[in-house]
Amino acid sequence: MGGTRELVRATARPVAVGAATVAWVLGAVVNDLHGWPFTLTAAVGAVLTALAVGIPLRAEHNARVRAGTAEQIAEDASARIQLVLNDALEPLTYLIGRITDRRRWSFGREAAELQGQAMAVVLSAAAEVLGANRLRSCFFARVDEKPVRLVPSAFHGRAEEPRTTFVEGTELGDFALGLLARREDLFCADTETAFPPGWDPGPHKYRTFIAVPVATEARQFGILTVDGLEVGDLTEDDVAAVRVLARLLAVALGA
Amino acid sequence: MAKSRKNGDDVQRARLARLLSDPATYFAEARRQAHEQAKRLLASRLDEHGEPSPGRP
Repeated sequence: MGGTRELVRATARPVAVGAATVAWVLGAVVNDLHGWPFTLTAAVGAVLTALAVGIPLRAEHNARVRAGTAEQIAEDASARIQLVLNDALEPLTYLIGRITDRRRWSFGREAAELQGQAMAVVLSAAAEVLGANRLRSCFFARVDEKPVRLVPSAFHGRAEEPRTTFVEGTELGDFALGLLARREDLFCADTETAFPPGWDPGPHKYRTFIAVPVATEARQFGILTVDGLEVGDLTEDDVAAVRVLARLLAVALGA
Repeated sequence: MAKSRKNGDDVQRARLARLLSDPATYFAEARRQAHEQAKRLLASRLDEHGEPSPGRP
């Protein structure tokens, strides 16, 4: 069945070209044209045949390219959903189940170990499932001593350790702590064109980042960030996945 | 016939251990499998509509 369809598809174009050509050649022969009327008819017929065949061919080519692109986008989106749900969230929620299964009296070293595992899963998932290469995820833990700070505590991805500490009382520190307090997300598409208050480009190599709070309604644990080296490595669409990972990390840390 | 899939705690434990021991390899493999499955799903859905996609050779 598929073979017949392919055969029809393959022969349709030469048949169309042949029919269009035969039509005007036949017309010229039947009308017994000679000399310049025949030459003129042949030239105009050839041009019109080329247009009649070329325009649909061009449209077909464009449609083919667009369909190929659409299929690639659909495939990427489907693969990404599967990656986030099956390969990142499922092991993480299983791990959270294990943390909450611990009896209260057994909390301590074992719980801390499981929470450390949850941190590792969240950081690796945040850096690995969003699609772009060489992303880095970082966790900045909130330290409650005065002045309150967000200190780099763990990271995954590119081998560049985060160095910034966000300190209360500085413009950038107050901004970051405010985001956490209000449970707000931040997506910076390009650090060279739109950046947070008090931002110092300094030695930062990344051009785009996402920052989301790691908090439950009652408790603040810190901020999870994901950054990329190129503009476009991260998009607004990535924020939701990072936010869910951060929320689940907060549940694990608060359990 | 309904399709059952073995995905119990032992499977999850093993999967978590793989993820924690080498996250980069775990996600690289997962990404490859996810794309293969997405390609299969997409092809079967397009085939349901009869005509092969113009985007595919």
